[in-house]
Amino acid sequence: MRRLRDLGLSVGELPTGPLNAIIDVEGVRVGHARGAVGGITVVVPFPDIPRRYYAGRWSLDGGDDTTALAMLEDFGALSTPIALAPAPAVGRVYDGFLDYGFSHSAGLGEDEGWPPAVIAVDGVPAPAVSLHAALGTAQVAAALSTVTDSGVAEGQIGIGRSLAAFGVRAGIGNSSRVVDAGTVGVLVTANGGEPRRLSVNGIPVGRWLAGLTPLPPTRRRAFAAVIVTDAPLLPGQLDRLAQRSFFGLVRVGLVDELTTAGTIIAVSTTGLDDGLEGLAPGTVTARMTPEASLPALFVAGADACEEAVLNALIAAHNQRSTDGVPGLPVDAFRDTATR
Amino acid sequence: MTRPCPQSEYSDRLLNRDLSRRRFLRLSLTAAALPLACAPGTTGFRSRGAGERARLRDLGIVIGDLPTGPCNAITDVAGVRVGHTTLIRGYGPLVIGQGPVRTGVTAILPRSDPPWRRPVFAADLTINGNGEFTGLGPVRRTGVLGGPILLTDTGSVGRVHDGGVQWALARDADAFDGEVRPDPVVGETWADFLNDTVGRHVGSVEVARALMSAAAGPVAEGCVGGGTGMRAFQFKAGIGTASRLVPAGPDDADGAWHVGVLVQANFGSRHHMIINGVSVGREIVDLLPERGTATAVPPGNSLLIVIATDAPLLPIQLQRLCRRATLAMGRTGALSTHGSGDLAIAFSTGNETGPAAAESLQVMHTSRMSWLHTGVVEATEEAILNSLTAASTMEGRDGNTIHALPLDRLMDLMHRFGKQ
Repeated sequence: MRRLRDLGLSVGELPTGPLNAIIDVEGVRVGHARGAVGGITVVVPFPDIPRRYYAGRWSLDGGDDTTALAMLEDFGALSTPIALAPAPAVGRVYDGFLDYGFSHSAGLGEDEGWPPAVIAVDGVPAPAVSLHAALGTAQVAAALSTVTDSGVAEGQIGIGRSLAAFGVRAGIGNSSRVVDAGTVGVLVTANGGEPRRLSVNGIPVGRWLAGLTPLPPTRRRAFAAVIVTDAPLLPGQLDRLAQRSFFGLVRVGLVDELTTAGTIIAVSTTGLDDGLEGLAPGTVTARMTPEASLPALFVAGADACEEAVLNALIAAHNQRSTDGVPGLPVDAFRDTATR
Repeated sequence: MTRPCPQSEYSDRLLNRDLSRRRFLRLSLTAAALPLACAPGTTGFRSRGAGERARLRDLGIVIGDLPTGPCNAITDVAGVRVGHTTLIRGYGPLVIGQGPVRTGVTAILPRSDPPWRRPVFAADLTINGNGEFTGLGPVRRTGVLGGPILLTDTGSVGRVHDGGVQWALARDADAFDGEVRPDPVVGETWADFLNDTVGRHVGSVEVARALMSAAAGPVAEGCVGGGTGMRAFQFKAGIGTASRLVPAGPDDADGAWHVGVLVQANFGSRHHMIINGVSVGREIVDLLPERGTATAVPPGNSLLIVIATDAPLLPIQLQRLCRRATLAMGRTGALSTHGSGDLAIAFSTGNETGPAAAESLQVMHTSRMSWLHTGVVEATEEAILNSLTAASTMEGRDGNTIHALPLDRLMDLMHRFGKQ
């Protein structure tokens, strides 16, 4: 599997983590599963059993269906894996995560994997009836049984199956950055984007690269992203990281006025130390990052988002696709981006 | 004829403090030493003169179950200071720019230091948006409040904001260059029935006076500060405050958090008015506002709510407290109508934040907040009612008059319904 940096290209100036992947953030694991059509992707932001972590959110135009929204907005904390699933399968995937939660606690407390966070990814080009039937408890179990912190498959895998962007096959991409405050890892579903808007590090590749055909206008264009950091951020700071990272999706050309919606959830693995009882009764230990250190994290999130989208295109260029969308002409892409 | 709010212009809180100090000395013979010079609320009926005002608890009416702090005021949260500048000038026809003036400004400072130097975590909630709270951008962006909270009347917002800026710059010429924004949070309600709104009588001098007189201890209520010209349920109202002690854990040894609320009340229709579950507004149907001439604009609607706590809360948790204040509004009969500017802001002194923030904070576990929720609801309800029982009948511009809630009739009603 090739990636942007294998082509001698990169985004921004910040260094990546060792794998240039979301799992560069310690304790984070990713798994994929597939159904007869479509698939799901799971990001687990804790190393073992469910534990509470701070989370924030930003959505374009309100986003698509997202479960656990009430707790995310009111408490700023979740304790569940985060799943990306086709919109028609959200309830069945949610149910699968209840099985997972029940396996840890019959009580399903707010710090024991409840409520499941499932982000609907709109625009998976398959009949809703098929997607609904194809994905559920079995796929959740499969995805959770394969979660790993050793590598993240990209392109037409998991929720990335059949997704396309800039007229070519796309899907799952991920990337990471390291700044003083910590490591930022992102995982993006690349879907949508007019070919002429494709841009790499400010170079308008899409305008110069011949042979990209726009996707049919009937195809819905929505994105989703999960951002994880080991920088200690509070819920409000995570809202801001999610919002600022979005700029990377705009810069690469994935998101424009034709985009229908999108959701970004940002998570800090170190902001909340739920296991450590605070000094006063009923308190816990929280950690925050000073205001002055936030801009570097914002740059890291945006750069990683931009690179993740490009990684998705490059990973998918030679992968099988069910609906005949062509792959990115990688050599021409590299030549154009470096000319 | 009742001369409204007979205290001289800036002496309201002094009078109030003296009264409380005397009462404290008397009660301290029986009560253990209290951390602040405040008396616990007395209970039980006592007769009072026609014009005499009181706090709700002094009437024997107790909201909820939780104990109050020593002053039953927002200042029970250590470090919080409140100051009023009250402007009552002139009678007769409105002459724009001259009066009559029935307004002022109430200043709330979260800590003893200038707020931009030692800020607090904060969050706000727009319950109904027909109003103004300036300075919320930085609060929402950073979760940090670095400016004073100033409550005034609608026309005076710009000048009060300017006063807050001048106050900050006089202390720190580079106050705006630091990481924490000193932008004042200025809230308003509509005093036009009694006050010369267009004349905009609250300026930087009045703001400075309120900020510099801000003190811990008892808080003057009723027709004072920003609440001078306000009314609730068509009775005279204004500033009200209350507090609760909230158990920090299951054992007494765990201690208690304080939660204090200060409101500027200017909302509500009489027939909706509820006090401790009794539909007082359906029983006392007279004493409606009286127009001296036909020129007056009908009273507006608005409620400003300031919530303070020493419980160590994060901004997202403070927003939960703001939401609980809406439940208290409902218990008094508020409907938050379209014309209302019902706005809440909450802050916590329980952690240092801004540049001085520790890397590691102790914060409330989200699942342990129910007592705080109870405290906010009880204190907000009682603060609203204190703004009514403390306020005296006031005549303002064009002879317009808003009557005080008659405490003797209120007491009779509460007896009749077994609520006291």
